[in-house]
Amino acid sequence: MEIFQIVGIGLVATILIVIVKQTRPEFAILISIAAGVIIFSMMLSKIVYVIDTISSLSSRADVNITYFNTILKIIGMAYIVEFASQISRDAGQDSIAMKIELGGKILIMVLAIPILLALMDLIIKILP
Amino acid sequence: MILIRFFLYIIILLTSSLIGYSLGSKYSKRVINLVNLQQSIRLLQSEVIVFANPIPIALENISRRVSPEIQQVYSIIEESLVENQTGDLYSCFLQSIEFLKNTCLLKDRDIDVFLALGKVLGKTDRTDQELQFKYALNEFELLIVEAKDERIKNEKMYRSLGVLMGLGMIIILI
Amino acid sequence: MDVNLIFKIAAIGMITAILHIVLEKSGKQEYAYLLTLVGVIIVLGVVINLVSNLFNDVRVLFRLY
Repeated sequence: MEIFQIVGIGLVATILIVIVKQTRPEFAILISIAAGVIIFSMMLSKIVYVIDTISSLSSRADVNITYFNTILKIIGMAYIVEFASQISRDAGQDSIAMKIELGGKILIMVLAIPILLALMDLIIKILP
Repeated sequence: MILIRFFLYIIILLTSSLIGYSLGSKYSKRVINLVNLQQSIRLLQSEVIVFANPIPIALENISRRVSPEIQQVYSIIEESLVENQTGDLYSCFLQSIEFLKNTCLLKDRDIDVFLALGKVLGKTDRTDQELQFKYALNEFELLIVEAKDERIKNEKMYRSLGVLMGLGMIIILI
Repeated sequence: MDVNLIFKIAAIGMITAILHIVLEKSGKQEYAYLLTLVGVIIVLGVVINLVSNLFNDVRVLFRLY
């Protein structure tokens, strides 16, 4: 059961970060980044499985594959942005976290515009 | 396989600790040699002033009662006295500079005090010799205090530096 | 890519902290800061490697090419 490994790694990393933070705060940040990466890598295969299932479901439900791809990209971007911004916030740099989030929001908006346009077209078509 | 790596780590740790220790021992050796040199000058003082022995006999007498390194210093001086026959004590003292610097790890200022004593030894009268000896012993006292200070500051630092560097390298390699 | 990596980074961090204190107490503060910087750079190299792997995986996974 990987959940125990993940919980174990998380707890160990937390304790080590608290210890190291008092004397060398910069190492604490690096430890937290490393722990996040390790935990994510452990989850990788499961995520692939889930995404494949949803993708096959969506293709069977006859949804346009591009929509699904776009949603997938948005989810991925949101995850990465949250990872980075939370680390910045842990290090006390709230402003940098906000900037990262702003960048993420804008890029997600850019990705979502085609869908918005398609939606507008559909609505206009329906309206008399 | 694992055993070999284990041994490798131990070797790395020992090597860097040894390097740290030897770098740190420079300072403690200087202190010890300075104290011994000062003691030998005291013996020389009693030989020359109290017993009024000539220099070669005085040197020979104190050779037996000093530490091995200082013994070698005086044997170098004695040898060059026998060789040169010019009767110039100072040039014989000059011969011992190399040894004092490399093996006894004395600094230039320590050697200067020693040579200054050698310049005036046996050349003036008794009262003046007494003053010269007192002056040299005082100077050595100050130098010893300074050397002890340096030792307190530096020896521990180099030792812990060696051990910690070894540990750091092991951790990076594990 | 497991728990040992976190231990390694934490251990390097603690050793760097001790070295920093030792060097500072014996008066050579410049070397202390230099050494801390070196340690951070070394660990940064390892972590950046990890993060680049992570981003590659995310890119392939979420089809973000």
